[in-house]
Amino acid sequence: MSGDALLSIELSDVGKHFGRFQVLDHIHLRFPAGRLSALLGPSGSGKTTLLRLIAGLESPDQGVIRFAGEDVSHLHVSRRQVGFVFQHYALFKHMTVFDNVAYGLKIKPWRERPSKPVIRKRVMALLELVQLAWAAKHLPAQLSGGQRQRIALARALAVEPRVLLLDEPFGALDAQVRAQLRAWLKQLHREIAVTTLFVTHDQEEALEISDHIVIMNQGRIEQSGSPQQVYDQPANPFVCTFLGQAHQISAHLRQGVIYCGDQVVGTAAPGLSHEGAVRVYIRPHDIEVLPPDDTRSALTATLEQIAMIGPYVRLALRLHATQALIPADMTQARFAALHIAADNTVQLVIRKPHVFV
Amino acid sequence: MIAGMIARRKPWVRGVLPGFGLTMGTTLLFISLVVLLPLAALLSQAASPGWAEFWRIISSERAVATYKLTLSSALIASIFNLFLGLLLAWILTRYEFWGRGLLDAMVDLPFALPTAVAGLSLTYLLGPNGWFGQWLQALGITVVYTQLGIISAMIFTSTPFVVRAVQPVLEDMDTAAEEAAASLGASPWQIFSGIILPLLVPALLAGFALAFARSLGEFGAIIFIAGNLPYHTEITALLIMIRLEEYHYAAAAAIASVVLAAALVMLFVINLLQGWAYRQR
Ligand SMILES: Nc1ncnc2c1ncn2[C@@H]1O[C@H](COP(=O)(O)OP(=O)(O)OP(=O)(O)O)[C@@H](O)[C@H]1O
Ligand SMILES: [Mg+2]
Repeated sequence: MSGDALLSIELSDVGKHFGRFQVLDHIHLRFPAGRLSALLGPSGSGKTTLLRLIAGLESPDQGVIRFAGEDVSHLHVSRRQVGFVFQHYALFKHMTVFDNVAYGLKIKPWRERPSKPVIRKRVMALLELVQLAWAAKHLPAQLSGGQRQRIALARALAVEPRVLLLDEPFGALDAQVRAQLRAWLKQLHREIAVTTLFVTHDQEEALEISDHIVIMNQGRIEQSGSPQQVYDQPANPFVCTFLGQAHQISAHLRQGVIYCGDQVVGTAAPGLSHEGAVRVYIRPHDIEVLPPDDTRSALTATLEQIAMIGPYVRLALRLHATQALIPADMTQARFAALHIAADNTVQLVIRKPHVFV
Repeated sequence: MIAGMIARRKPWVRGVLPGFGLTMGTTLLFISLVVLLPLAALLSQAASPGWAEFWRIISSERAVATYKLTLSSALIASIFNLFLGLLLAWILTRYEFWGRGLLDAMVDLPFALPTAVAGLSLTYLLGPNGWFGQWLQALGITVVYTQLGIISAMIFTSTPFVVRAVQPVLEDMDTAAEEAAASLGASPWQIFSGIILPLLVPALLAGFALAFARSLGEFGAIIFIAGNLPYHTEITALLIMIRLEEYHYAAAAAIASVVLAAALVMLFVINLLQGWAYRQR
């Protein structure tokens, strides 16, 4: 749509409280122009509140919100030119699908209002875009959840918003429809390239479709960056465990080498000059299990349980050094090649240990 | 699915709970005793002197004057209450303020108050020396013993109907739709008229119908303030009362049946309108 009007969203030192409860605490953030950004965090972490502040549905107690450098903190929601999509669609249930999408155009002051044929053309084009042109005369109640959400999206896009904000747009839908719409949203975003923020608490969704991820917890930003960055270089244990699975083992660091008990786990990233106790987080698929006779590793464990989970196998491993129980994932083929069984002793190589002081 | 198939094969299975026959029977019996029987008695009483006499009674000049007065007053009062009731319901649901609970309870006062008490206090308040009446008098407005007095009494006694019809709908309304409209650039007035009001129409109609029906039948509150001058400030209910006091039962019943017909027509029309409004959604 308006590919030339890309703008970034910046928040500086934004705070918000409800009563005595600090919902957002000194937020500094920048959402890159024209990108699809995901806002990820556990329930109650303030994602919706942040999105509503950006939309102007809520006003900040302190701090400044800027669209492409312009301070919009005190601009009324009806003037901010944001498209907002709600978790439960919030369609106008007394209007047809067509009228829902046309609403934003029909209520413009007559000077700015497009003529009827133009409105008609634009609405039909949008319905085409969300693949629901056939439903133009239906009422929202006659559509499925996924269809309603696409209508809500078309309605938000009709007024050519400067930014698009989606609050758990697929949260109320079942897994299959979710996956479809997710791919579809990614595609749509490629076509219209408007700066888009979407809230989700599904980390897979965030990793799959976004260009940029912001991870929130208890009203604070834990990390913000590309999906690759936040997944591979988590800034802290929270991000590490929140994005994908990770299990903590206690270890210590001596001259850049990680020890678990007296066994070597691996080497830490070059920048880390700490000596002494550290927490090491390990993802299940970052553990390579070797047969007992292999000598590449010093880290040993006992295989306690084997579970087949669809295409892969999950092993429960008891570390000899600390008696901690950690899971490891591998493919069925890899597992078969190992020729191991419960109660066997195995050797472990940790491909990517995440070390936090 | 399965339940649906079973229900289709066995049409007598109407739901999970049994007892349709018993509950429906009790309901019908009760309605017959309390509503239909008295109505039948009324109609047979009204018809007893014969059609010509019936027609003469109900179309007499004095009776027609009461119809006009009662109908027009009830209509004005109900339209007024449409706005007042909506306003009250709006304030009670949309704002948090000190004393909201009290105000909410007070809305029901006209229901709880004996209508004679209401009539007396209104007459006192609005009378030439009353708290409000003296100021209105100064402006050249006389309320007591005029149609304005009748309308005031009707407004007072029927406000709760509109409030209580609209309030639950407003409470259940999802504010996200309003926020969506605002984010699309709608002004507060556009949101109210285009998003909120259409959803309130059925409730407003229901409240209006009840208020109107109540106003048609209101007696106690009105007779104190109306002046009750034949041809000018005499309402239909009072004329019925007068005919009764003259032991002219057939005339009383005849006039009463006109009120009854008006109320029924009103309810019927409103029901049609409501059905239409629901289908619009
Ligand atoms: N209007 C409000 N009044 C009072 N407290 C509120 C209000 N809105 C949100 N909160 C509180 O602020 C906190 C953050 O809420 P928010 O809705 O932003 O969380 P969220 O991250 O969107 O959570 P979820 O994933 O469950 O939607 C919550 O603890 C919530 O109880
Ligand atoms: Mg939320």
